[in-house]
Parts: sequence; C-alpha cells; structure tokens
Amino acid sequence: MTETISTQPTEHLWLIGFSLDPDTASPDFYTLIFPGDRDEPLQNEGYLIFFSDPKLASHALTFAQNDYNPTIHLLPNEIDAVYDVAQTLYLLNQAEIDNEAAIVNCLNIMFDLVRATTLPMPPEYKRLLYALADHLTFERELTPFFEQQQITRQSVIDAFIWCMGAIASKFKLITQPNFNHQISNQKETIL
Amino acid sequence: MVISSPLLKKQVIISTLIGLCLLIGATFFIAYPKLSPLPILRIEQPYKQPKAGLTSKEGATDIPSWAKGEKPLTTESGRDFAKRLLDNRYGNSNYPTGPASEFNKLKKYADRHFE
Repeated sequence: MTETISTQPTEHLWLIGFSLDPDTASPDFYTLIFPGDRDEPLQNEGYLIFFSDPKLASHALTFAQNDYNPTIHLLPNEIDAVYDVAQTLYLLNQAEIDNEAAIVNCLNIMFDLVRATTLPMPPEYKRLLYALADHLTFERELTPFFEQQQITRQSVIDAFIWCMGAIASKFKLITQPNFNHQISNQKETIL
Repeated sequence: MVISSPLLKKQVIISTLIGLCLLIGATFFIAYPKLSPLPILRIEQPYKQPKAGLTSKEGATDIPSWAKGEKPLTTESGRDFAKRLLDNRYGNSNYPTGPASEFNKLKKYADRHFE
C-alpha cells in the first residue's frame, strides 16, 4: 500500500482577542491574523472583521477577502494573544516599567490593523508611536524614553487613541452565524 | 460549652469531619471544575485562556534586549532579519513565532525602523 504524504506547507492563523473593559476577564472581541512578511488581519471590502466569540472564527473566514487557502492555513484551536487596551492606556499614562511587554505587543498589532484600514496615520503620531515601539522592543523601562526623547505621555496617548478611532471607524463585528444577512440589511439601509 | 455525653461528643466529631470533607471537596472542584461531578461547575471552554496577567500564550514578556543594536542586511526583510538572529541564538527554528514572540517583535522592529 502506498501512502501519500502531503508536503504542502501549513501555517497556523493567529486568533487574537482584544480586551476593552477592565472589569471583564475574557476579551470583548476577536479577529484572525494571516502571518507573513506583513501580518494581515481579516478584512472584507476595506473593513476589518472582528467577531464576538472565538467559535465564530471559521464563520468569519467565509466573509473574508484575504487569500485564505484551507489546505495551507490552519485554524487555531487556542487564543494566541490577548491585547488589553485598558491596561495599555493605564501603563502609558502612569507606569514606569512595562514588565509584560503589553504596550509593544499592543502597538505592533495596532499598526497592522491601522495599515489594513488604509487610513493615513498623521506623521507626528506615527513618529511618536514608532519611536516608543522601537524603544520597548528592547527595553522594559518607560520613564527614560519620555525623559530622553522629550515626549509627553499625553501626546503618545493622543496618538494611541487616534489609532483606536481609526480601527473603530473601519470594522464590522460578527456576533452571530447569519452575518451575511446582517450585511445585506446594512447595505439596504445605507442605499 | 462543655459536652459531657460521650455519644454527643462522637456526633460532634463526626459532623465536624463531614463538614471538613465537604469544604475540601467543594474547594477542589471549584479549582478543577472539569473534574466536578456537578454539571453546573463543568463549564466547557473550547479555547485555552491566557494565564492571568499575561497577554499571550507565550507569556508576552519576551523582550529581545540581547538583540539591541543589530541591523538587518540590505537584502533582508524583517522576517529574514528576525530569523537570522533567533536561529543564531536558539538554533534553527527552535523558538516561538507567535504574535507576542521575540521573533515577531524583531520582525516588526526591522520592518518599521528600516523601511
């Protein structure tokens, strides 16, 4: 008996969650990321696709316009990362050290999401956030960055909130399996 | 309170032991709900949740401070750069590459900083 072994490379998609409410333990919404030279979030017609429950991940894929190939891309069976937006804002506002790398992780994924929206980030915001992300790639201490670069915490927070707004203005949230029907209804309403 | 009757003493001891067993049992099944015989405590969780205080399954605390000062070659993408450094440090592909990994931080850094 000859056995056929598939030599096609496989790649796990990343299931990531976002936590906005500091009072809830589980993330508020999720998305999938196609890892590659550029990590691409789930998208449809220029909108980011998020879903409210990890169980909706495979369903969300059916609406995505990413180059999804079921023989190459494997759906994750666990959450790869959770980004705590509230904690990141708190750290930016007050912390002297970011031991858990929460800020740089959050910034890295946020840059991917903002790029996917195609909304141009204001150059000054880009400069501030890129400088902070570069610093926190190798360091845990926040205070030296603000002191040496003469950048205020508030200016970084403003830039961060701009990014959150850009993402919020260009996303669709799947909350139930019959999302196609929801999209159709939205289009009819808009037209 | 003084308990004089031997029978009453025995009953108090047994009641105390039963109470302790129930308390230990309840604590155990609350800590390990999957082992609980009561369905109400056995909530199905198909996806592993990250440990409290961490932001990813990799721990998210990986800061590649050892790579400070390294630069990508002109022919390298961010991914190639991260792979070269991590292969040298940990062995060929012997490291995580998830969203919060050292690999991903270095890849993003190189793409961002040297674009």
